[in-house]
Amino acid sequence: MTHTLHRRGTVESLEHDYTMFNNVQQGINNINVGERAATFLKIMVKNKPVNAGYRWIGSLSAGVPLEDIVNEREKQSNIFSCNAVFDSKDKLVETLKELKEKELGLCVIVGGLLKEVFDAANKAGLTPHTVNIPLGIWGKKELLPKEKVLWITTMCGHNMVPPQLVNSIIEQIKRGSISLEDASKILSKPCICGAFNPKRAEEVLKELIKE
Amino acid sequence: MRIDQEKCIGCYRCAAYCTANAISVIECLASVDQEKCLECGNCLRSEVCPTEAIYEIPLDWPRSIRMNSDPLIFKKEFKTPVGHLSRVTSGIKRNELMRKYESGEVGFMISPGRPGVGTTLENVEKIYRAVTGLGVEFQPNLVTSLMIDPKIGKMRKEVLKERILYTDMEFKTEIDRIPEVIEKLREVSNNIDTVFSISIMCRVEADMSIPALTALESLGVSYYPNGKANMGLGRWVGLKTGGGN
Repeated sequence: MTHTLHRRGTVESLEHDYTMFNNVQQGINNINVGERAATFLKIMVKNKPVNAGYRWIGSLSAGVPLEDIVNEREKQSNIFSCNAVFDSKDKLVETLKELKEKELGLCVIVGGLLKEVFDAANKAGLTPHTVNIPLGIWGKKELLPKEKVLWITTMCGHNMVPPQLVNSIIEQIKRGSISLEDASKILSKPCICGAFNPKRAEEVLKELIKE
Repeated sequence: MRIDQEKCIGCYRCAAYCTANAISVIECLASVDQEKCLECGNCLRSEVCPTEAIYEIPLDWPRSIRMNSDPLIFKKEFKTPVGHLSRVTSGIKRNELMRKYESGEVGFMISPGRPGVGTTLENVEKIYRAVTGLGVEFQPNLVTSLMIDPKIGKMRKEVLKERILYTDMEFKTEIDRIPEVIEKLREVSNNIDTVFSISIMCRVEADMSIPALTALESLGVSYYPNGKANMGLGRWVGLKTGGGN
């Protein structure tokens, strides 16, 4: 799966966008996954991500209370991941340091500018094992929306933030019907996994409303 | 997905949440174009309808395939004659444990329909056929389950016109075969009625280099500065002691 992979934007725009999630393999490291994944989630949240979630129940940006997310993850034995997105490399480093120390045995996958992700791993005493690198969008590209709209929509890897929602939100901001902050909350809500970065969405919206 | 015409007041708030642009207003009421609808459930989940007019019905085969567009598919009953169909493949997520990709090897992940355009299974079959001629083997998932003849990429006829938001197709090959794969993907890229996102997967070498990138650069294939990295933290738990490396 590549849900947190194909996030589009310039290097500058992506500098404040780091995703993290856990994974397990049946029969290898899925024993007591609920408890360990709940601990993983708590470690991520301690380092103040801009969003977090667990697909089984939802995300912070969708209005699900953190306590509910943690409790639900703890009691479930399924292998669905807990996700978070950070807006700074420093937060990523601190989270990785603690995860290394805790030795939860979970697979941990980090997304972002790879140069920065590798640096963060190094600072945390970790060695990246395998990478997944996007080669872009091919095929009938005339079907795509405006590039900066994609910067927002691709932050939900399940594609639940459609371009027409972004366009509708832009119109509402221009009319003065909603604030940027409320706009990013509306855009975050359909992303049930918690991988959508509302802070980055605000920054991109600021650019889009000028166009 | 359906909209109850008795309850709809034509406010059109739901349309912005449709991932397929399938909701339109006909005679002042919102209506879902069933041909376009991907059954992703986003309109219903949005809870924007003030009269709760949006609803879903159990889907029969082959339309049930469209449920793969719904991120909450795992909570639903899924009717299929070929067993459970999931578009999921593992990618790099557990590679430190599964050792699927080792040094000298590269994985390709092709996602027809992504980002947000959607695809017919006919387009998926086209890509599959283009690549399978190279003698590579796709990881089992939704796409392979629908093949009558996986060797030539012939899909079940009844599913070809069905639409999904996206799916993943993953296969492995040697790094020195990257030029052949890229050539095939370039060919099919000029002859397809949707978009597809591509990514590569490979081990990070001991010196932190990624050899596959050199091959791509020599072919003029650009890659993103961002991506995903498996941190190598996965370990056997509760079965035996020792590290995953």
